[in-house]
Amino acid sequence: MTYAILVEGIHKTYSGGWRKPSKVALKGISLSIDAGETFGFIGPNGAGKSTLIKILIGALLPTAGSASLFDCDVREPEARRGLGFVPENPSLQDFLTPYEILLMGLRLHGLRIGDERKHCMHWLERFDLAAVADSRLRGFSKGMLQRTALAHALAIKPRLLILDEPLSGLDPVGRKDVVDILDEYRQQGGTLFFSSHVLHDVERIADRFGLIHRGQLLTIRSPQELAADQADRFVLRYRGGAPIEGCSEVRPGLFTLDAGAADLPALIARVNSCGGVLQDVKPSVSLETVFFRTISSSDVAGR
Amino acid sequence: MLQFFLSSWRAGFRDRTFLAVFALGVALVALAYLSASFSPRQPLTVALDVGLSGFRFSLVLFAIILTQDLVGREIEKRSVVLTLSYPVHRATYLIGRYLGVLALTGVAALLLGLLLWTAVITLGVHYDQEFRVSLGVPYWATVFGVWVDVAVVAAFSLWIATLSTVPMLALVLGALFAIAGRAVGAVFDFLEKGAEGQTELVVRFGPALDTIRWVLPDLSRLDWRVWPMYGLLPDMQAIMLSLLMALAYCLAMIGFSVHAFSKREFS
Repeated sequence: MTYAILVEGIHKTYSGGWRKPSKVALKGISLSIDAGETFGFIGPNGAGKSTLIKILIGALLPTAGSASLFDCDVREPEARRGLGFVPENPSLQDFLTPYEILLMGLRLHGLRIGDERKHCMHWLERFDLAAVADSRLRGFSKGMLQRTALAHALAIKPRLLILDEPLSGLDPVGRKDVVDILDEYRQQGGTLFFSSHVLHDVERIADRFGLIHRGQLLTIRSPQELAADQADRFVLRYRGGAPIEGCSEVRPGLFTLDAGAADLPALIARVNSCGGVLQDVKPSVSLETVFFRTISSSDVAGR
Repeated sequence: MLQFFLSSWRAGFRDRTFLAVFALGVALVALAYLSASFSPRQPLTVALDVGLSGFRFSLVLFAIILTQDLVGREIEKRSVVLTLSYPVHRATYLIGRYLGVLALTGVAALLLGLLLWTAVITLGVHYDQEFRVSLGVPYWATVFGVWVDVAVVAAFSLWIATLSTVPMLALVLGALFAIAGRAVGAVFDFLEKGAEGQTELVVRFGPALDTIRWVLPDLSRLDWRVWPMYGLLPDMQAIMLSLLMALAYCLAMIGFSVHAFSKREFS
Protein backbone atom coordinates (compact mmCIF):
# COMPACT_ATOMS: atom_id res chain seq x y z
CA MET A 1 0.00 0.00 0.00
CA THR A 2 1.21 3.49 -0.82
CA TYR A 3 1.20 5.88 2.09
CA ALA A 4 1.52 9.62 1.66
CA ILE A 5 3.87 9.60 4.63
CA LEU A 6 5.51 6.53 6.11
CA VAL A 7 7.85 6.91 9.06
CA GLU A 8 9.48 3.81 10.52
CA GLY A 9 11.48 3.81 13.72
CA ILE A 10 12.93 7.28 13.28
CA HIS A 11 15.55 8.29 15.81
CA LYS A 12 17.29 11.61 15.77
CA THR A 13 20.14 12.72 17.98
CA TYR A 14 21.73 16.11 17.57
CA SER A 15 25.42 15.63 18.10
CA GLY A 16 26.95 17.77 20.77
CA GLY A 17 29.89 20.08 20.49
CA TRP A 18 32.50 21.46 22.76
CA ARG A 19 30.91 21.70 26.25
CA LYS A 20 27.56 20.92 24.70
CA PRO A 21 26.02 17.49 25.24
CA SER A 22 24.29 15.66 22.44
CA LYS A 23 20.51 15.86 22.46
CA VAL A 24 18.05 13.11 21.65
CA ALA A 25 15.18 14.71 19.73
CA LEU A 26 13.24 11.68 18.44
CA LYS A 27 13.05 8.22 19.97
CA GLY A 28 11.73 5.65 17.53
CA ILE A 29 8.81 7.44 15.91
CA SER A 30 6.67 5.35 13.59
CA LEU A 31 3.52 6.46 11.83
CA SER A 32 1.75 6.15 8.52
CA ILE A 33 -0.57 8.63 6.88
CA ASP A 34 -2.82 7.71 4.00
CA ALA A 35 -3.28 9.79 0.90
CA GLY A 36 -6.17 12.20 1.43
CA GLU A 37 -5.82 12.16 5.20
CA THR A 38 -5.38 15.18 7.45
CA PHE A 39 -3.04 14.54 10.32
CA GLY A 40 -2.47 17.01 13.14
CA PHE A 41 0.76 16.78 15.04
CA ILE A 42 0.67 18.24 18.51
CA GLY A 43 3.06 18.48 21.40
CA PRO A 44 4.73 21.02 23.67
CA ASN A 45 7.68 23.14 22.55
CA GLY A 46 10.81 21.07 22.04
CA ALA A 47 8.83 17.82 21.77
CA GLY A 48 10.31 16.98 18.36
CA LYS A 49 7.56 18.12 15.97
CA SER A 50 9.76 20.37 13.86
CA THR A 51 12.59 17.82 13.86
CA LEU A 52 10.31 15.18 12.31
CA ILE A 53 9.00 17.70 9.78
CA LYS A 54 12.55 18.66 8.80
CA ILE A 55 13.41 15.00 8.31
CA LEU A 56 10.39 14.66 6.05
CA ILE A 57 11.44 17.57 3.85
CA GLY A 58 15.06 16.42 3.71
CA ALA A 59 16.60 19.24 5.75
CA LEU A 60 17.72 16.79 8.45
CA LEU A 61 18.91 13.21 8.24
CA PRO A 62 17.59 10.66 10.73
CA THR A 63 20.13 9.00 13.01
CA ALA A 64 18.25 5.73 12.49
CA GLY A 65 15.06 4.61 10.82
CA SER A 66 13.54 5.59 7.53
CA ALA A 67 10.94 7.93 6.12
CA SER A 68 9.28 8.11 2.75
CA LEU A 69 6.76 10.25 0.93
CA PHE A 70 4.57 8.37 -1.55
CA ASP A 71 7.00 5.43 -1.43
CA CYS A 72 10.01 7.57 -2.25
CA ASP A 73 12.78 7.90 0.35
CA VAL A 74 12.88 11.44 1.74
CA ARG A 75 16.59 11.65 0.94
CA GLU A 76 15.69 11.63 -2.76
CA PRO A 77 14.73 15.04 -4.23
CA GLU A 78 11.96 13.36 -6.22
CA ALA A 79 10.14 12.59 -2.94
CA ARG A 80 9.48 16.32 -2.64
CA ARG A 81 7.73 16.69 -6.00
CA GLY A 82 4.29 18.10 -5.29
CA LEU A 83 5.18 18.79 -1.66
CA GLY A 84 3.94 22.12 -0.38
CA PHE A 85 5.85 23.13 2.72
CA VAL A 86 5.54 26.00 5.16
CA PRO A 87 8.25 26.20 7.81
CA GLU A 88 7.70 27.59 11.26
CA ASN A 89 8.29 31.37 11.17
CA PRO A 90 8.90 31.30 7.44
CA SER A 91 11.96 33.24 6.40
CA LEU A 92 11.67 33.87 2.68
CA GLN A 93 14.09 35.44 0.23
CA ASP A 94 13.22 38.99 1.17
CA PHE A 95 14.56 40.56 -2.01
CA LEU A 96 11.84 38.80 -4.01
CA THR A 97 8.16 39.69 -4.31
CA PRO A 98 5.30 37.34 -3.35
CA TYR A 99 4.57 36.82 -7.05
CA GLU A 100 8.19 35.87 -7.76
CA ILE A 101 8.21 33.47 -4.81
CA LEU A 102 5.12 31.69 -6.12
CA LEU A 103 6.45 31.65 -9.68
CA MET A 104 9.74 30.13 -8.52
CA GLY A 105 7.79 27.41 -6.68
CA LEU A 106 5.74 26.57 -9.79
CA ARG A 107 8.81 26.27 -11.97
CA LEU A 108 10.91 24.29 -9.51
CA HIS A 109 8.08 21.80 -9.11
CA GLY A 110 7.88 21.54 -12.89
CA LEU A 111 4.25 22.63 -13.08
CA ARG A 112 3.00 23.50 -16.55
CA ILE A 113 0.35 26.19 -16.26
CA GLY A 114 -0.83 28.29 -19.20
CA ASP A 115 -1.14 31.65 -17.51
CA GLU A 116 1.29 31.57 -14.61
CA ARG A 117 0.60 35.14 -13.57
CA LYS A 118 -3.14 34.51 -13.35
CA HIS A 119 -2.61 31.32 -11.37
CA CYS A 120 -0.25 32.98 -8.88
CA MET A 121 -2.51 36.01 -8.53
CA HIS A 122 -5.44 33.72 -7.77
CA TRP A 123 -3.59 32.30 -4.79
CA LEU A 124 -2.28 35.67 -3.67
CA GLU A 125 -5.84 36.99 -3.76
CA ARG A 126 -7.03 34.03 -1.68
CA PHE A 127 -4.53 35.04 0.98
CA ASP A 128 -5.30 38.74 0.65
CA LEU A 129 -1.89 39.56 -0.83
CA ALA A 130 -2.88 40.70 -4.33
CA ALA A 131 -2.27 44.36 -3.48
CA VAL A 132 1.35 43.63 -2.52
CA ALA A 133 2.03 40.95 -5.14
CA ASP A 134 4.84 42.97 -6.70
CA SER A 135 6.27 44.52 -3.54
CA ARG A 136 9.45 43.13 -2.05
CA LEU A 137 9.01 40.93 1.00
CA ARG A 138 11.47 43.01 3.02
CA GLY A 139 9.32 44.92 5.47
CA PHE A 140 6.40 42.48 5.42
CA SER A 141 4.87 41.61 8.79
CA LYS A 142 5.15 38.08 10.17
CA GLY A 143 1.53 37.40 9.26
CA MET A 144 2.06 38.54 5.67
CA LEU A 145 5.14 36.34 5.33
CA GLN A 146 3.16 33.43 6.72
CA ARG A 147 0.39 34.01 4.20
CA THR A 148 2.92 34.31 1.36
CA ALA A 149 4.45 30.98 2.38
CA LEU A 150 0.99 29.39 2.52
CA ALA A 151 0.04 30.79 -0.89
CA HIS A 152 3.35 29.45 -2.26
CA ALA A 153 2.65 25.99 -0.81
CA LEU A 154 -0.86 25.83 -2.25
CA ALA A 155 -0.04 27.36 -5.64
CA ILE A 156 2.06 24.35 -6.62
CA LYS A 157 -1.08 22.17 -6.58
CA PRO A 158 0.41 19.98 -3.86
CA ARG A 159 -0.40 16.33 -3.43
CA LEU A 160 0.94 16.69 0.11
CA LEU A 161 1.05 19.73 2.37
CA ILE A 162 3.44 19.76 5.33
CA LEU A 163 2.90 22.78 7.52
CA ASP A 164 4.88 23.59 10.63
CA GLU A 165 2.75 25.80 12.85
CA PRO A 166 0.83 27.26 9.90
CA LEU A 167 -1.36 29.46 12.04
CA SER A 168 1.27 31.14 14.17
CA GLY A 169 1.62 34.83 13.49
CA LEU A 170 -1.86 35.15 12.02
CA ASP A 171 -4.56 37.37 13.42
CA PRO A 172 -7.97 35.79 14.18
CA VAL A 173 -9.38 36.76 10.76
CA GLY A 174 -6.31 35.44 8.94
CA ARG A 175 -6.42 32.28 11.01
CA LYS A 176 -10.04 31.62 10.10
CA ASP A 177 -9.33 32.24 6.41
CA VAL A 178 -6.39 29.82 6.46
CA VAL A 179 -8.34 27.16 8.31
CA ASP A 180 -11.13 27.50 5.73
CA ILE A 181 -8.65 27.17 2.83
CA LEU A 182 -7.02 24.13 4.42
CA ASP A 183 -10.44 22.61 5.00
CA GLU A 184 -11.22 23.16 1.33
CA TYR A 185 -7.92 21.54 0.32
CA ARG A 186 -8.76 18.59 2.56
CA GLN A 187 -12.19 18.20 1.08
CA GLN A 188 -10.69 18.15 -2.41
CA GLY A 189 -8.68 15.09 -1.41
CA GLY A 190 -5.33 16.64 -0.55
CA THR A 191 -3.12 15.12 2.14
CA LEU A 192 -2.28 17.43 5.00
CA PHE A 193 0.27 16.97 7.76
CA PHE A 194 0.56 19.86 10.13
CA SER A 195 1.78 20.74 13.57
CA SER A 196 0.04 23.29 15.71
CA HIS A 197 -0.21 24.61 19.20
CA VAL A 198 -3.76 25.72 18.54
CA LEU A 199 -5.54 22.58 19.66
CA HIS A 200 -8.96 23.85 18.70
CA ASP A 201 -7.87 24.10 15.06
CA VAL A 202 -6.29 20.64 15.13
CA GLU A 203 -9.54 19.29 16.50
CA ARG A 204 -11.49 21.04 13.77
CA ILE A 205 -9.43 20.00 10.75
CA ALA A 206 -7.61 16.77 11.57
CA ASP A 207 -8.89 13.29 10.76
CA ARG A 208 -6.34 11.99 13.24
CA PHE A 209 -3.84 13.59 15.51
CA GLY A 210 -0.60 12.41 17.02
CA LEU A 211 0.72 13.60 20.33
CA ILE A 212 4.48 13.78 20.67
CA HIS A 213 6.30 14.50 23.90
CA ARG A 214 10.04 14.36 24.59
CA GLY A 215 10.66 12.69 21.24
CA GLN A 216 8.12 9.93 21.69
CA LEU A 217 4.81 9.53 19.95
CA LEU A 218 2.46 8.98 22.90
CA THR A 219 -0.80 8.48 21.09
CA ILE A 220 -2.50 8.62 17.71
CA ARG A 221 -6.22 9.13 17.85
CA SER A 222 -9.14 10.42 15.85
CA PRO A 223 -11.63 12.95 17.25
CA GLN A 224 -14.27 10.19 17.12
CA GLU A 225 -12.11 7.89 19.28
CA LEU A 226 -11.54 10.78 21.62
CA ALA A 227 -15.26 11.37 22.05
CA ALA A 228 -15.96 7.68 22.56
CA ASP A 229 -13.18 7.40 25.15
CA GLN A 230 -14.57 10.06 27.39
CA ALA A 231 -18.27 10.22 26.66
CA ASP A 232 -19.17 10.11 30.34
CA ARG A 233 -16.86 12.85 31.55
CA PHE A 234 -17.96 16.46 32.06
CA VAL A 235 -16.52 19.76 33.19
CA LEU A 236 -18.77 21.80 35.47
CA ARG A 237 -18.20 25.52 36.12
CA TYR A 238 -19.85 27.70 38.74
CA ARG A 239 -19.54 31.27 40.02
CA GLY A 240 -19.60 32.65 43.56
CA GLY A 241 -20.27 30.63 46.68
CA ALA A 242 -17.63 28.60 48.45
CA PRO A 243 -15.16 26.18 46.94
CA ILE A 244 -16.32 22.59 47.18
CA GLU A 245 -14.15 19.50 47.41
CA GLY A 246 -12.22 18.65 44.24
CA CYS A 247 -12.76 21.99 42.52
CA SER A 248 -10.16 24.40 41.28
CA GLU A 249 -10.49 28.18 41.10
CA VAL A 250 -9.66 29.20 37.54
CA ARG A 251 -10.34 32.91 38.14
CA PRO A 252 -11.37 34.70 41.34
CA GLY A 253 -14.88 33.49 42.06
CA LEU A 254 -15.00 31.03 39.14
CA PHE A 255 -14.62 27.35 39.97
CA THR A 256 -14.34 24.27 37.82
CA LEU A 257 -14.91 20.60 38.54
CA ASP A 258 -14.26 17.47 36.52
CA ALA A 259 -16.89 14.81 37.09
CA GLY A 260 -18.48 11.65 35.75
CA ALA A 261 -22.04 11.69 34.39
CA ALA A 262 -23.38 9.78 37.42
CA ASP A 263 -22.02 12.37 39.86
CA LEU A 264 -23.48 15.42 38.11
CA PRO A 265 -26.87 15.74 39.91
CA ALA A 266 -25.22 15.53 43.34
CA LEU A 267 -22.56 18.05 42.35
CA ILE A 268 -25.11 20.53 41.04
CA ALA A 269 -27.02 20.22 44.31
CA ARG A 270 -23.79 20.94 46.27
CA VAL A 271 -23.11 24.01 44.12
CA ASN A 272 -26.58 25.33 44.88
CA SER A 273 -26.27 24.61 48.58
CA CYS A 274 -22.95 26.45 48.88
CA GLY A 275 -24.48 29.55 47.25
CA GLY A 276 -22.82 29.14 43.88
CA VAL A 277 -24.42 29.86 40.51
CA LEU A 278 -24.00 27.14 37.90
CA GLN A 279 -22.31 28.60 34.80
CA ASP A 280 -22.14 25.66 32.42
CA VAL A 281 -21.61 21.92 32.12
CA LYS A 282 -19.58 20.75 29.11
CA PRO A 283 -18.35 17.36 28.01
CA SER A 284 -14.66 17.02 28.75
CA VAL A 285 -13.86 15.57 25.35
CA SER A 286 -11.53 18.30 24.19
CA LEU A 287 -8.19 17.65 22.65
CA GLU A 288 -6.75 19.99 25.23
CA THR A 289 -7.79 17.67 28.03
CA VAL A 290 -6.20 14.70 26.32
CA PHE A 291 -3.11 16.74 25.62
CA PHE A 292 -2.52 17.63 29.25
CA ARG A 293 -3.57 14.27 30.66
CA THR A 294 -1.40 12.27 28.31
CA ILE A 295 1.59 14.51 28.87
CA SER A 296 1.26 14.47 32.64
CA SER A 297 0.79 10.69 32.74
CA SER A 298 3.86 10.33 30.50
CA ASP A 299 5.83 12.55 32.87
CA VAL A 300 4.73 10.49 35.86
CA ALA A 301 5.66 7.25 34.08
CA GLY A 302 9.02 8.68 33.12
CA ARG A 303 10.03 9.51 36.69
CA MET B 1 19.26 25.94 -11.49
CA LEU B 2 17.87 28.70 -13.68
CA GLN B 3 15.46 29.75 -10.94
CA PHE B 4 18.24 30.13 -8.37
CA PHE B 5 20.34 31.98 -10.93
CA LEU B 6 17.44 34.36 -11.63
CA SER B 7 16.74 35.02 -7.98
CA SER B 8 20.45 35.79 -7.43
CA TRP B 9 20.31 38.14 -10.38
CA ARG B 10 17.31 39.96 -8.89
CA ALA B 11 19.01 40.16 -5.49
CA GLY B 12 22.06 41.76 -7.08
CA PHE B 13 20.10 44.59 -8.58
CA ARG B 14 17.82 45.16 -5.61
CA ASP B 15 20.03 45.03 -2.55
CA ARG B 16 21.36 48.37 -1.36
CA THR B 17 24.63 46.83 -0.16
CA PHE B 18 25.46 45.80 -3.67
CA LEU B 19 24.62 49.25 -4.97
CA ALA B 20 26.84 50.73 -2.27
CA VAL B 21 29.76 48.55 -3.35
CA PHE B 22 29.15 49.51 -6.94
CA ALA B 23 29.13 53.17 -5.89
CA LEU B 24 32.48 52.51 -4.18
CA GLY B 25 33.81 51.17 -7.50
CA VAL B 26 32.64 54.32 -9.25
CA ALA B 27 34.34 56.42 -6.56
CA LEU B 28 37.58 54.49 -7.00
CA VAL B 29 37.48 55.11 -10.75
CA ALA B 30 36.98 58.79 -9.98
CA LEU B 31 40.00 58.56 -7.67
CA ALA B 32 41.99 57.00 -10.51
CA TYR B 33 41.01 59.94 -12.69
CA LEU B 34 42.27 62.38 -10.08
CA SER B 35 45.45 60.36 -9.44
CA ALA B 36 46.55 61.10 -13.00
CA SER B 37 47.64 64.53 -11.84
CA PHE B 38 50.40 62.94 -9.72
CA SER B 39 52.34 62.12 -12.89
CA PRO B 40 52.76 65.01 -15.30
CA ARG B 41 54.49 62.77 -17.89
CA GLN B 42 52.46 59.56 -17.72
CA PRO B 43 49.04 60.47 -16.31
CA LEU B 44 47.18 57.82 -18.32
CA THR B 45 49.42 54.99 -17.10
CA VAL B 46 49.04 56.08 -13.47
CA ALA B 47 45.27 56.47 -13.81
CA LEU B 48 45.02 53.03 -15.38
CA ASP B 49 47.19 51.44 -12.69
CA VAL B 50 45.28 53.01 -9.81
CA GLY B 51 41.98 52.38 -11.58
CA LEU B 52 42.65 48.69 -12.12
CA SER B 53 43.60 48.27 -8.45
CA GLY B 54 40.39 49.98 -7.33
CA PHE B 55 38.48 47.96 -9.90
CA ARG B 56 39.75 44.67 -8.48
CA PHE B 57 39.19 45.80 -4.90
CA SER B 58 35.54 46.72 -5.47
CA LEU B 59 34.85 43.67 -7.61
CA VAL B 60 36.29 41.29 -4.98
CA LEU B 61 34.25 43.04 -2.29
CA PHE B 62 31.15 42.80 -4.48
CA ALA B 63 31.66 39.06 -5.06
CA ILE B 64 32.22 38.11 -1.43
CA ILE B 65 29.32 40.26 -0.19
CA LEU B 66 27.08 38.67 -2.82
CA THR B 67 28.17 35.17 -1.85
CA GLN B 68 27.72 35.88 1.84
CA ASP B 69 24.31 37.41 1.21
CA LEU B 70 22.98 34.82 -1.22
CA VAL B 71 24.26 31.72 0.55
CA GLY B 72 25.68 32.55 4.00
CA ARG B 73 22.82 34.76 5.10
CA GLU B 74 20.20 32.38 3.73
CA ILE B 75 21.69 29.57 5.78
CA GLU B 76 21.90 31.80 8.83
CA LYS B 77 18.31 33.06 8.45
CA ARG B 78 17.07 29.54 7.66
CA SER B 79 15.34 30.74 4.49
CA VAL B 80 17.33 27.93 2.87
CA VAL B 81 14.99 25.43 4.58
CA LEU B 82 12.18 26.34 2.18
CA THR B 83 14.61 25.97 -0.72
CA LEU B 84 15.50 22.46 0.46
CA SER B 85 11.84 21.46 0.19
CA TYR B 86 11.96 21.78 -3.60
CA PRO B 87 12.37 18.59 -5.65
CA VAL B 88 15.90 19.49 -6.74
CA HIS B 89 19.38 18.44 -5.63
CA ARG B 90 21.08 20.76 -3.20
CA ALA B 91 23.90 21.19 -5.71
CA THR B 92 21.43 22.87 -8.09
CA TYR B 93 20.86 25.62 -5.57
CA LEU B 94 24.56 26.21 -4.93
CA ILE B 95 25.61 26.18 -8.58
CA GLY B 96 22.68 28.44 -9.50
CA ARG B 97 23.77 30.89 -6.83
CA TYR B 98 27.42 30.75 -7.93
CA LEU B 99 26.50 31.36 -11.56
CA GLY B 100 24.36 34.28 -10.40
CA VAL B 101 27.37 35.74 -8.58
CA LEU B 102 29.53 35.26 -11.68
CA ALA B 103 26.95 36.96 -13.91
CA LEU B 104 26.51 39.90 -11.54
CA THR B 105 30.25 40.41 -11.12
CA GLY B 106 30.56 40.10 -14.89
CA VAL B 107 28.08 42.93 -15.40
CA ALA B 108 29.80 44.98 -12.70
CA ALA B 109 33.17 44.33 -14.38
CA LEU B 110 31.82 45.50 -17.72
CA LEU B 111 30.27 48.66 -16.27
CA LEU B 112 33.23 49.61 -14.08
CA GLY B 113 35.62 48.65 -16.89
CA LEU B 114 33.73 50.90 -19.26
CA LEU B 115 33.81 53.71 -16.73
CA LEU B 116 37.56 53.39 -16.19
CA TRP B 117 38.09 53.14 -19.93
CA THR B 118 36.10 56.37 -20.41
CA ALA B 119 38.05 58.08 -17.62
CA VAL B 120 41.41 57.17 -19.19
CA ILE B 121 40.24 58.14 -22.69
CA THR B 122 39.04 61.49 -21.32
CA LEU B 123 42.44 62.11 -19.73
CA GLY B 124 44.06 61.43 -23.10
CA VAL B 125 42.06 64.23 -24.72
CA HIS B 126 43.89 66.82 -22.62
CA TYR B 127 47.38 65.33 -22.87
CA ASP B 128 48.89 62.93 -25.35
CA GLN B 129 51.58 61.10 -23.36
CA GLU B 130 54.63 59.82 -25.16
CA PHE B 131 54.13 56.14 -24.35
CA ARG B 132 50.50 55.40 -25.10
CA VAL B 133 48.38 52.96 -23.10
CA SER B 134 46.53 50.24 -25.03
CA LEU B 135 42.82 50.48 -24.35
CA GLY B 136 41.68 47.90 -26.87
CA VAL B 137 42.10 44.14 -26.53
CA PRO B 138 44.92 44.41 -23.93
CA TYR B 139 42.71 46.50 -21.64
CA TRP B 140 39.64 44.25 -21.92
CA ALA B 141 41.79 41.14 -21.53
CA THR B 142 43.03 42.61 -18.26
CA VAL B 143 39.44 43.29 -17.15
CA PHE B 144 38.64 39.66 -18.00
CA GLY B 145 41.65 38.50 -15.93
CA VAL B 146 40.36 40.43 -12.92
CA TRP B 147 36.92 38.86 -13.37
CA VAL B 148 38.48 35.36 -13.42
CA ASP B 149 40.44 36.27 -10.27
CA VAL B 150 37.14 37.34 -8.64
CA ALA B 151 35.47 34.08 -9.76
CA VAL B 152 38.15 32.13 -7.84
CA VAL B 153 37.61 34.27 -4.71
CA ALA B 154 33.83 33.81 -5.02
CA ALA B 155 34.23 30.02 -5.30
CA PHE B 156 36.35 30.00 -2.13
CA SER B 157 33.80 32.21 -0.31
CA LEU B 158 31.03 29.86 -1.43
CA TRP B 159 32.83 26.91 0.13
CA ILE B 160 33.30 28.78 3.41
CA ALA B 161 29.65 29.90 3.40
CA THR B 162 28.47 26.30 3.10
CA LEU B 163 30.67 25.21 6.01
CA SER B 164 30.40 28.15 8.31
CA THR B 165 28.13 28.38 11.29
CA VAL B 166 29.45 31.84 12.11
CA PRO B 167 27.85 34.71 10.22
CA MET B 168 30.29 36.84 8.21
CA LEU B 169 33.02 34.18 8.22
CA ALA B 170 32.69 33.83 4.44
CA LEU B 171 33.15 37.57 4.13
CA VAL B 172 36.24 37.73 6.34
CA LEU B 173 37.96 34.59 5.03
CA GLY B 174 37.05 35.50 1.45
CA ALA B 175 38.75 38.87 1.86
CA LEU B 176 41.82 37.26 3.48
CA PHE B 177 41.98 34.70 0.67
CA ALA B 178 41.83 37.46 -1.95
CA ILE B 179 44.71 39.30 -0.27
CA ALA B 180 46.80 36.17 0.30
CA GLY B 181 46.18 34.90 -3.24
CA ARG B 182 47.51 38.14 -4.66
CA ALA B 183 50.46 38.44 -2.27
CA VAL B 184 51.69 34.88 -2.55
CA GLY B 185 53.04 35.34 -6.09
CA ALA B 186 55.22 38.27 -5.07
CA VAL B 187 56.54 36.30 -2.09
CA PHE B 188 57.40 33.31 -4.33
CA ASP B 189 59.21 35.57 -6.78
CA PHE B 190 61.11 37.27 -3.98
CA LEU B 191 62.28 33.99 -2.44
CA GLU B 192 63.00 32.31 -5.77
CA LYS B 193 65.24 35.20 -6.71
CA GLY B 194 67.28 34.66 -3.54
CA ALA B 195 65.49 37.14 -1.26
CA GLU B 196 68.16 39.75 -2.00
CA GLY B 197 70.79 37.61 -0.35
CA GLN B 198 68.81 36.87 2.82
CA THR B 199 69.40 33.11 2.68
CA GLU B 200 67.96 32.69 6.17
CA LEU B 201 64.55 33.77 4.86
CA VAL B 202 64.74 31.29 1.99
CA VAL B 203 65.66 28.43 4.34
CA ARG B 204 63.01 29.40 6.88
CA PHE B 205 60.00 30.01 4.66
CA GLY B 206 60.88 28.07 1.51
CA PRO B 207 59.46 24.66 2.60
CA ALA B 208 56.25 26.21 3.96
CA LEU B 209 55.73 28.15 0.74
CA ASP B 210 56.30 24.99 -1.30
CA THR B 211 53.33 23.50 0.52
CA ILE B 212 51.21 26.66 0.26
CA ARG B 213 51.85 26.68 -3.48
CA TRP B 214 49.61 23.62 -3.73
CA VAL B 215 46.84 25.02 -1.57
CA LEU B 216 46.63 28.70 -2.40
CA PRO B 217 46.29 29.78 -6.02
CA ASP B 218 48.63 32.49 -7.24
CA LEU B 219 46.04 35.08 -8.26
CA SER B 220 48.71 37.57 -9.30
CA ARG B 221 49.16 35.44 -12.44
CA LEU B 222 45.76 36.69 -13.54
CA ASP B 223 46.88 40.31 -13.42
CA TRP B 224 47.91 41.27 -16.93
CA ARG B 225 47.91 45.04 -16.49
CA VAL B 226 51.45 45.43 -17.88
CA TRP B 227 49.94 44.67 -21.27
CA PRO B 228 47.65 47.75 -21.56
CA MET B 229 49.98 49.94 -19.46
CA TYR B 230 53.33 49.24 -21.10
CA GLY B 231 52.48 47.10 -24.11
CA LEU B 232 54.29 44.09 -22.60
CA LEU B 233 52.37 41.11 -23.94
CA PRO B 234 52.36 38.38 -21.29
CA ASP B 235 53.50 34.92 -22.29
CA MET B 236 50.46 33.19 -23.84
CA GLN B 237 51.36 29.87 -22.26
CA ALA B 238 51.49 31.55 -18.86
CA ILE B 239 48.08 33.10 -19.48
CA MET B 240 46.58 29.78 -20.47
CA LEU B 241 48.12 28.06 -17.46
CA SER B 242 46.83 30.72 -15.10
CA LEU B 243 43.32 30.37 -16.58
CA LEU B 244 43.57 26.62 -16.25
CA MET B 245 44.67 27.00 -12.63
CA ALA B 246 41.71 29.30 -11.94
CA LEU B 247 39.26 26.91 -13.57
CA ALA B 248 40.63 23.93 -11.67
CA TYR B 249 40.52 25.84 -8.41
CA CYS B 250 36.93 27.00 -9.03
CA LEU B 251 35.82 23.46 -9.85
CA ALA B 252 37.53 22.09 -6.76
CA MET B 253 35.94 24.74 -4.53
CA ILE B 254 32.49 24.13 -6.03
CA GLY B 255 32.99 20.40 -5.50
CA PHE B 256 33.91 20.98 -1.84
CA SER B 257 30.93 23.33 -1.45
CA VAL B 258 28.47 20.83 -2.91
CA HIS B 259 29.88 18.08 -0.70
CA ALA B 260 29.69 20.21 2.46
CA PHE B 261 26.22 21.53 1.64
CA SER B 262 24.85 18.08 0.80
CA LYS B 263 26.02 16.73 4.15
CA ARG B 264 24.89 19.71 6.16
CA GLU B 265 21.84 19.51 8.38
CA PHE B 266 19.52 22.43 8.95
CA SER B 267 17.86 22.16 12.34
